[in-house]
Amino acid sequence: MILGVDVGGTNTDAVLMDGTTLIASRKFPTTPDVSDGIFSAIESVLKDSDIPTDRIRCVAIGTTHFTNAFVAREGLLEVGLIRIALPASSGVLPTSGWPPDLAAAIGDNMILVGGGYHVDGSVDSELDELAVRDAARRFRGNGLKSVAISALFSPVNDDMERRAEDIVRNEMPEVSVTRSSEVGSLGLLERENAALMNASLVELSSRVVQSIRRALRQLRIEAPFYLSQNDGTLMTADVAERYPVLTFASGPTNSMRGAAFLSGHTDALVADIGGTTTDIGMLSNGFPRESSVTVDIGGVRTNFRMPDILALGLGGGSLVAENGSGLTIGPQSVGYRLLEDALVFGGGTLTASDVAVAAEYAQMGDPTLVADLPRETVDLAVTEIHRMLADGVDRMKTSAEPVPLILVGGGSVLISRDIPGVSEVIVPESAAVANAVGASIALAGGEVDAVYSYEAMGRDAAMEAARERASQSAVDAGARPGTIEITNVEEIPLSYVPGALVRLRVKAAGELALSSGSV
Amino acid sequence: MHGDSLRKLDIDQVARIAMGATLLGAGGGGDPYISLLAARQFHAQGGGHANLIGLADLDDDAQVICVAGFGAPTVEKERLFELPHVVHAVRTLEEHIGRKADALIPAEMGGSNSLVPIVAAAACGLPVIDGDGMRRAFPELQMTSFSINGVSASPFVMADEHLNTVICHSRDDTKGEAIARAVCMGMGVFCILAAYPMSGSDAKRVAIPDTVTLALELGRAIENARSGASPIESLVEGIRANAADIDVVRLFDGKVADVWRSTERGFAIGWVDLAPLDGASHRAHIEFRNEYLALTLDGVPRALTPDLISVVDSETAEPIPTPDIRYGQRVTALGLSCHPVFRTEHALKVVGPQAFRMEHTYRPLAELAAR
Repeated sequence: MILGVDVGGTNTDAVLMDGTTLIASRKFPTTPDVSDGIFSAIESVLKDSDIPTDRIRCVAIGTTHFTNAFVAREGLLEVGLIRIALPASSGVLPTSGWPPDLAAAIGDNMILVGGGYHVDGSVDSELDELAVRDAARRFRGNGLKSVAISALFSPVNDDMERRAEDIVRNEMPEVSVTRSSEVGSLGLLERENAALMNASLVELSSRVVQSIRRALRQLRIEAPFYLSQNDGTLMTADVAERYPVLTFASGPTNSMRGAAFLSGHTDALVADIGGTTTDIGMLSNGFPRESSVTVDIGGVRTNFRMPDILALGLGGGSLVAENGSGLTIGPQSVGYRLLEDALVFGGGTLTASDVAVAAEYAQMGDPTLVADLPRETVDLAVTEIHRMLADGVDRMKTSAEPVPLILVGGGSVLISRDIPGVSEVIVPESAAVANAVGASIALAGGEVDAVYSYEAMGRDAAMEAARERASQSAVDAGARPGTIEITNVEEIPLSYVPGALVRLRVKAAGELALSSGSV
Repeated sequence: MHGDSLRKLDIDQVARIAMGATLLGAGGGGDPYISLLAARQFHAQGGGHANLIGLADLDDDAQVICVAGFGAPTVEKERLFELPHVVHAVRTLEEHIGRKADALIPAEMGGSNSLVPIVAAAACGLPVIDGDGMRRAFPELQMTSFSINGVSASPFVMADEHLNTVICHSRDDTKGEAIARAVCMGMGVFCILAAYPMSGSDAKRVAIPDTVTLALELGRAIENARSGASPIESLVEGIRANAADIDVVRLFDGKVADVWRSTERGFAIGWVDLAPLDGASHRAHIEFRNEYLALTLDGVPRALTPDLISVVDSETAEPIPTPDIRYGQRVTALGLSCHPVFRTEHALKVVGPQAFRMEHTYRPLAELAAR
């Protein structure tokens, strides 16, 4: 059996899964020390199901905690950065384009040294080892605990980043080191940003992982635990402790993967309707379609692959406001105060939930409190709610063909009518804990993002090399050899260059190598 | 040159030029974000602003040099920006021709190369000319109004950050392109090019005027469009208001239904299919080769290179370059007429559909729209 946990900004959900069956689920408020909420949620799920803890083979946790901490600038470490790229790159220094307060939070220990590779992995400049050593000594003198290392074309060849790490560790034995090639892909600035973000979070991640470990021990759960990463696959707790940045986009991914699992559909639209917003995404082959545009997190540019999500200002707490010509819904919302402020709960604010109750298709609170709402207002509002969702759905579709729509999240009760362009609307049981379910069903994954020369290697050999590297990285992340499948291949030709240089992005995923049986 | 004819470009204006140049890039030319950060850093470290000079204000016997990045945008995103070798390339060409430059001119007011000469000019203490050789982006050295009008790219200088330097005299600019491409490979697939040394009077004859100002105004139009109720209409109005001589055609509104990419002789080639939002059966098909080059509607050509095809986000009016176009995006394809210099029979051999090995015969945008 597997325990799936989702630690959101508001709620911590836990589910207990036996194979494909949901045994029990629970929701608790998220606590400042996230392990307290995790402890309560797991404890009550175990109590409800009466399952002995030795039957749990794995705990999978999805969390937006590190993303939120970075955006809120909470618990960030000062970071020492060594960029191996001189003479290139000096015109765009590290943290260029960052919000000033965030750049200040990680400090100004940014040192550029000689070294780096060409696009084909050959040496551009030899590594200036003395300069790396001097940088490490300066960092030590400044009392830094975390160091990030970036290097020119390190996704193609990471030898210099590794050598620099050795030199740094020699000078600073206790330091935590993030190499950019481990957390980012091509694009020096974006990759370095990811490394800096990661390095600033390692103390927090270490604290969080340790405290979850303690909570699990107190619950007498011996099974290993994993964290969800951006692409919906899992990494071991040890890896997560070192690479918190890899959890940054796991929330929406888990919700969509969970929706796929609960509904049995692998190709469908998913709308996660919460209290304030609706996130719409497209599932393809059981995984979310990814956005290819650069993503700003807390104002910092990254090239993380995030699910392509359209956020609408529509949720259970959205305010319904009449104006001269008609009526608007959202984007303002009573949010988590729904249970106090909405009319059906005795409050004074007309919300989307109230009109759904007044229209007699949703059940919550006291329906008599909305019995006096004008029929016309209710009709207009219900029509507007469905129009908003239909418009969002249409925007995320890739073809005119009707596709199934899976509704998850507490706000899914707002929808009662057919949606144009949708073949069927599916509201799975347990839709409210789709995120935790998504965490529990995740696979272990790995990927490679590197440049190959088709002229030198031939396409087949290059493709094979990339597949092998991706599979190996899935094994490193905890996958069982033999279950690994290649889940995505992207070929991106490098323009303006002869030599048939192609950037290959290959992803692999496999079942977790647990002590026995399959997941 | 007259001091009062110079116009200072502050950093906000440079940012608007970057946005406008992405529209004029017609899908290609690389992301100007890196050069914009470089401009910011140069300024933050106490460097001066670049000054813009109109072509008309240039002395006839002034010395003009063109400066540009040359190579793969992917490599540019790793190597970022390094000012000393940019200045070195300019100084080396000055030394070689035995004359100091009086002004720098952009090769292409499209993509990342629109900002490189602006940062270079500020660093060299020279003005940057309000004009360029394309009023869009093209992928090759010889595809400029300079070359088409008889000003040679040679002698030109190529330099990398190690100050590896090559000076080239080529028989013609097409040969120069072939040599430059090979040298660029040896330099790590990205380098700085200082080329097209010409006199002020030549620049007045062969350059397309006022294009830096145009990019600036287009950037402002995109900024304004984003906040308006109908962004695309607002953008189209903005283009018309700032460039009376450019025909603007709203070619197609829809969403990306399919994308195909490949590589050919070092160029990113492919196509995009757009389908209408209402599910109707019309299809727009756009072929690209670094830049968007041809748009057909149900098989009938509606816009062909050298006219510009720009694909913008229907909601934000922001241009979408070819590397970023993807399934499901809601987009509007806009056609903008090219500068007349590219419409002659001679020029079309260099930048027309056949130059990109397409079978279409060029007809101007307005004529295709009227059919």
